[in-house]
Amino acid sequence: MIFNGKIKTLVLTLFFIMAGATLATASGGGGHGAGLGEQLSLYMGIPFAGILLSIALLPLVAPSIWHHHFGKIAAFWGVSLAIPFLIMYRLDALYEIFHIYLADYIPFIILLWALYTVAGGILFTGSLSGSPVVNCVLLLIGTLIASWVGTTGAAMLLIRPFMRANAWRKNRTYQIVFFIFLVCNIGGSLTPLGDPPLFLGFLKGVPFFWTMKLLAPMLVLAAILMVVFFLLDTYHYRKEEGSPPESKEKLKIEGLHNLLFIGGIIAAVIGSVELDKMLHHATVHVWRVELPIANVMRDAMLVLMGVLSLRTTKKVLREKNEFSWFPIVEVAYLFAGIFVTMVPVLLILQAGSKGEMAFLTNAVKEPVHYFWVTGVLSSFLDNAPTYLVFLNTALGNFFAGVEPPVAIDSLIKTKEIYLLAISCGAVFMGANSYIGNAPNFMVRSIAEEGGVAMPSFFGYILKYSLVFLVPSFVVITYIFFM
Amino acid sequence: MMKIKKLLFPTNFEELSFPTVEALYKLKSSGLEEIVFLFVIDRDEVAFNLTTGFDKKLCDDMAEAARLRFADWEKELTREGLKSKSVVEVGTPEGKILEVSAREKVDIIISGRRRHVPPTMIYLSGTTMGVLRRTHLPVMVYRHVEECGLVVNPFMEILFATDFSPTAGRAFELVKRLAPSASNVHVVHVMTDRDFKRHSQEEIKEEEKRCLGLMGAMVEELKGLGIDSQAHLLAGHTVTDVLACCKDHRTTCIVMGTTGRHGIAEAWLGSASHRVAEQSMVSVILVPDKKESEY
Repeated sequence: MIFNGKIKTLVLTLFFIMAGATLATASGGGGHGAGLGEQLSLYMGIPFAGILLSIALLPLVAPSIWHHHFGKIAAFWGVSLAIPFLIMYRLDALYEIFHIYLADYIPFIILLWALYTVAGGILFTGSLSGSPVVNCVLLLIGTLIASWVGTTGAAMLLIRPFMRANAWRKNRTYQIVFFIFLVCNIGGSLTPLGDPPLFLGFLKGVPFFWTMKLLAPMLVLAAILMVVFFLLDTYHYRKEEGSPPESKEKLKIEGLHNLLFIGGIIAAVIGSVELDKMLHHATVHVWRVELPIANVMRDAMLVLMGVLSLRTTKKVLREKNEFSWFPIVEVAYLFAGIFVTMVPVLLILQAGSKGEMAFLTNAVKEPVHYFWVTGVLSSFLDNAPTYLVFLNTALGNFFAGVEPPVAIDSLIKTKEIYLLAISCGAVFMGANSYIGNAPNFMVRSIAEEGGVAMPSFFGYILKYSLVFLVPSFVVITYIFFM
Repeated sequence: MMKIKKLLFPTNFEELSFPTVEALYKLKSSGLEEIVFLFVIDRDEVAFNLTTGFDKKLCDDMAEAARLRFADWEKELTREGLKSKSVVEVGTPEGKILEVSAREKVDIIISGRRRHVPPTMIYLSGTTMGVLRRTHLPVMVYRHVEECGLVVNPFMEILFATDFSPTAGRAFELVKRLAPSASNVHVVHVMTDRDFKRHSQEEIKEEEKRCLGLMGAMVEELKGLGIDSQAHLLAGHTVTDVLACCKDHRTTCIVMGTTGRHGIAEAWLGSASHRVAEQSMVSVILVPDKKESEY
């Protein structure tokens, strides 16, 4: 059905990219190699800006066209970068495209798919009372587990029990909004498994447990929002008439064996670092791209966990969870376009003051700049590419021309606060709009289907983000980034 | 004997439509009392929209259009003395068909053929395959047949293909339930090339005798129910011979058990029942080996 068209689009995109690649290979190498970022024109960033703006604007101006044709739109931008890039820079361009797909895109999608698949196999049934205390406990559980099962996984796991608990309540909109704030975004800040930008950072060389340094800002932000939620919920709870219906169905969790697979995913990601050391950083070559064997084994393990979850979990559990592949397919298609269009932008940024985006690296200087610029852009563009752009801006600023893993290591050792600001900005401010982070719109959709009146795109920003989140971010800025 | 009182008719108004319902009236003789119509709005069509979230307007419009169509059909059913019920749900078609079939306690599920395939072939859609894999109920893969502009009674001449397995036994129970709507039942067993290769001439003779004995007992049982019946012992390839026998005797429906070989196992070893359902020019009722509903 919907996927047939998408598969055609993917095949066509790959065809065009491969056609360009063949042309590039046949014409011989361009001889650019190192320092490509210094030679690239700013115009090469147009497809990247185009795809991000398409994601931000097209769903608003042409929602139906976007919903049915987002794959083609992503493919259009991908091809519009790939063909001229390959023709101009031949083997160097081909290497960069291959590299970003093999080293970044595929592991990224595999992790999201594995967490989404495994979490979707766990089903909570039965109902709780929906009192302010119970709601806070559910939000707290969601916030705590999001870093380990991913924000999408945590949202999928808890949104329905949260909605069932509050089905009898009259004002439910703010409850779902705070669920988006805490479970879909802020909770995912402690590990690379939690939120896509942090996993991209991990792939680039940020150590797995470094993200635990986000604990302090995360706790402050979560505490502020939790107190505000408790006060709001208590106010409405007292004002509303009625009481929770007596539930005959006992609380039950099915598909619990999926926790083993979640453990397997966590072990695979953490273990890949140690395994890499044990294998003395051994690599395999796919054409000119070097891939650490440990990373290949990690990805194979993640696929295995997802497949085992699919094979061992009754399909009926996923159906009762109203599980759909659509959100993950949408992410996969959009990111296939985002990653390829992002290649020249990242290279230019890595070149620092020698690249054509020196104006950006020169303008964004202080941690507070990084926090707010990364954050504001993450609110409207996807937070994962935004994180990478500003990570590379920082690297270009302080360690221009140095290979990313070495530069990241130096950044952590000497300018850690910058990475902290970028990470906090990308993760926290993904909550500012429905399009900031993938689970936001998924939760909105589930809530609306369940009869909760959710605010419009701008209503969400004006009534909730500007009122509750932005003042909290100001507090975070003063405490951590000034 | 159990009757076929209630059937589930899932439709998207393309693969299965009203002429199919009319053809199923014939099941009244087998005890049919009620038809449950089901229209599933695919969640991916109306949900997870970046801007609109869950598109309630689109969902409501689709549901209303389906209800109006069903209301029209229900009038016809009332005229025929049948009860009806229409259900509109949001979800995945496979899951909702299984859920509603369990909730409504139906006796059989009707399934259509996929669009855009050559008229000589039925392609079992992903939904039909999914339902077949998981349901404990018989699934009728319906094929519309008209002669001189008249809808042919799909249950008039039944071909029952048996391998004498427990699943085939369940299929035979269904044949007995369908018998009041039928005028003739052909009981067919195919001895395959593999049987011939593995056994000596004497063993094959013994096997033929055993098969004829078993089929003879079935024929007698059906005759006892007042239905004309014949046994046909064939040799060769199951799919080809069942389809050839169906043509030779102008049967209007094939009933057979399906052993639950799906996915990789089916791709590797094949599934005779699925191939028959795909290639048959008449409707095929597949009876799964599962005994309990997942829902």
